[in-house]
Amino acid sequence: MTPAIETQALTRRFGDFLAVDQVHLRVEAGQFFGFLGPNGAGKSTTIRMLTGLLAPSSGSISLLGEPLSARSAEIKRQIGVVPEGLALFGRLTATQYLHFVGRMYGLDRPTTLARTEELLDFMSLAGEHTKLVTDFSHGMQKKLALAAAVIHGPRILFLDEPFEGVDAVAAGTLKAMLQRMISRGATIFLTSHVLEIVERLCTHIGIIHQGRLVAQGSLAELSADVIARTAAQPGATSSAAPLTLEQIFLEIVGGSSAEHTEQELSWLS
Amino acid sequence: MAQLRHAAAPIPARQQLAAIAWLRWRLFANSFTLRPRQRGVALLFPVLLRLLVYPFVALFFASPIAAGALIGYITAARGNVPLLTLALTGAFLSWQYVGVYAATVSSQTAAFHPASLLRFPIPFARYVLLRLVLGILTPSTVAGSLAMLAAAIGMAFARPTLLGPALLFLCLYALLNLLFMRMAAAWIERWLATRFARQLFTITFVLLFVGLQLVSLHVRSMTDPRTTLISSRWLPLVASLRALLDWLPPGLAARGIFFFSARPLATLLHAAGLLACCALFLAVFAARMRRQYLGEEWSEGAARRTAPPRARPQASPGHATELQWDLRPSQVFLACFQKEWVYLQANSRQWLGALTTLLLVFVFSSPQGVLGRHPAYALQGATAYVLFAPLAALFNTFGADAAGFQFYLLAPVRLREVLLAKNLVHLLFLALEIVLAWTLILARLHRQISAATEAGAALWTLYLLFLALGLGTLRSMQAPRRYVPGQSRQSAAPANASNMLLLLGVLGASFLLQIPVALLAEHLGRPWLPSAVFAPLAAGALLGYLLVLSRADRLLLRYRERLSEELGRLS
Repeated sequence: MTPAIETQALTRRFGDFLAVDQVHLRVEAGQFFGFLGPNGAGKSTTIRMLTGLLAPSSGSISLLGEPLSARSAEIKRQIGVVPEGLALFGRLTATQYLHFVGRMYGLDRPTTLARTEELLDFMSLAGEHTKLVTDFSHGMQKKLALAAAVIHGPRILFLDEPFEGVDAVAAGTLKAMLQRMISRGATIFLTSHVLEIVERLCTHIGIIHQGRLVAQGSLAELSADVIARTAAQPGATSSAAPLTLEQIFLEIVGGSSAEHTEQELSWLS
Repeated sequence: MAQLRHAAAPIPARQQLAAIAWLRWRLFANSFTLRPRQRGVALLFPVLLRLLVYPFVALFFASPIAAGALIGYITAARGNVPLLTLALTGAFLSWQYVGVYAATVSSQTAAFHPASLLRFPIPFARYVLLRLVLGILTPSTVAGSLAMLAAAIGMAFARPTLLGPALLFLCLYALLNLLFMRMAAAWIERWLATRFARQLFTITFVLLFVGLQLVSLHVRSMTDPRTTLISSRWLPLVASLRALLDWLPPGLAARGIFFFSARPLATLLHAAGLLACCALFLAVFAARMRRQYLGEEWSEGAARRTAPPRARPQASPGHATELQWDLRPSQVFLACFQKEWVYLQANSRQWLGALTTLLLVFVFSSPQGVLGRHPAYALQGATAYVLFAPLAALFNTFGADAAGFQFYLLAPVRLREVLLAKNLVHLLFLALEIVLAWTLILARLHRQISAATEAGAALWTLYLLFLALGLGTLRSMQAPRRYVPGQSRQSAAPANASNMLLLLGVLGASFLLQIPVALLAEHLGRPWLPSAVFAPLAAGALLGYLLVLSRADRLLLRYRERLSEELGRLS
């Protein structure tokens, strides 16, 4: 089956800094894919390349079986993005913004209007129709960015930290919406630092560290892999219990920083 | 399952272009949307500001149109091809100078950048078209195109048979100018992605601008019969330039118009030459757009990440950290002073602005310059001129702190110390600029400026500074504006419209105030009268500033909500 997202040796350099290094990524259609990594690992750079906002230094990207570089306009029509900086137009109202986005994605006017109303209602933003986006709280801006990303019914949704700053009630609603999209065959590519969310939502996980994709697979596969690796180390005790995502993540990207904290911040009361 | 939906009909170009036009319109219309606290008197200031600015805007458009019509008429009446060539060269240079500069400034300050549309499914050809179209309605293009049209009409008035060829060639020439401007602006925008390049570019423009002022003074001096010999030196250069210009677009357009009836083949070749230039500029522009369309990295953020993380120095117990100097003044004052100093050092725009105004003071203080011709007001004039832009920062003291301002609300500090530190750094900068400006003036005009005039001007300057400090500090709390110096796509003005207008009023009124005082002193034969007038005014202004400072913490409590709302808002 053709994967929804596939990269071959995807690399991006900024001067002499290697932000993304030879990443081979494969996300099947219908997967809820969690893309994890410490700060500065290359997550957002990867998303920007996958969504056509940043050209790779080398390597290739295919979305929905088509090379992104060759058919970017057609592919962009099938994807939705909540980028890192949200990229909203602050001097529009939420209704005006969604109306603009819908038209840009080729929706006709009645469909755009109907979906705008529905989405604003769904995101609990309907009462803010006279307010400019710049006056929205961060959480409200996030919800609006998410509404804009799904207004055209994308087949792949890229979400960069979608739940950051969103209240618990809205987060619950959004999660339900994303699950529904998955059940209808959409693919979701999500980055988040909240490992509990990723663990609960994502069926597959990729971990990037210092620009390199260091792990990829289902949670069970990653857990088994880490257990096997730990067991192979001298003096290790074997454990059959599956690991949590936090344990897996810390094991893969370099362990706990608690010891450093105790050493360096000894003056804290 | 995961195949791309090939069957989907392409999005009509009209729909996307209409959506973008609507977006531009909404962004413009919504800029008039008032926040709850902006109603009432605050509405008056933008209106007044527009009333002040619009006459200059009208002049900007009217001048080239009138000049175009006049030159068109004269050249056609005399059949003067070289003059038309020179005029079209001048039009090209001013069109590009204004256009490229405006494009680069707006790219850093505009709320909307066309490149932000790249996340939408826009085909490449449509993107190029969009970038071209969005560049059409710039002031330089509108003024330039109207000037070309006026020139064609002017030519037709003198020789009606020239209407057709003049319209054809001047429209082609306008198109060429537009394409060249878009091409140049697109490439310059790319080169200016780094701060260093931006600084270099600004310096180049400053030098060009100052150079133009010098040329203007030189040209004025050439009208003096005693110096006509100088002008004769330029004639060979002008003659050789003219020969070159004949084969460049200005010459092609000018000769094409006049060859129309006599030499049709030559006219055709000239038109083809212009069209070829248009095609070349379009191709270079499209090449730039292609890179942008495929997703190129512009920001400096990524480049900065190349530096390896620095190891944090281990702070030994009881030792002061970097921001805490172990000196007598309070730690809060010193920490704020050092922070402001760091901000000031990094604010290259402010330093370059100071350099520009100082260079212009040097130009204006020449014997033909406006300051050189009025030595009695030269010091005050130079002071008001160099202070206008930097004084604006005093009227928005917390603007550059943006959301960081909230720290002052949270930390156990007295605001008066924070304000004092901020104002002192500003004052040091202003003092440096004033001293340099005065040095330039006195180096040239010291024989014409008496000690009494200097003393009066010094006291007037102190009065102006203290008045601006007091009012500025108060207005900084009453009407703050989020402003991040050097950050792209932020509002360019360091203070809001009402504060800018107030500053303009303070500066203008103060400058006008010293004129009758100087005249009275001259009339009464008492050269020290200005000092006697401005010394108590300066003392009063200082008292006012100290009063505001002493009440700063109370004022902060009163206006903290407004400050937090404006400075702490997102994006």
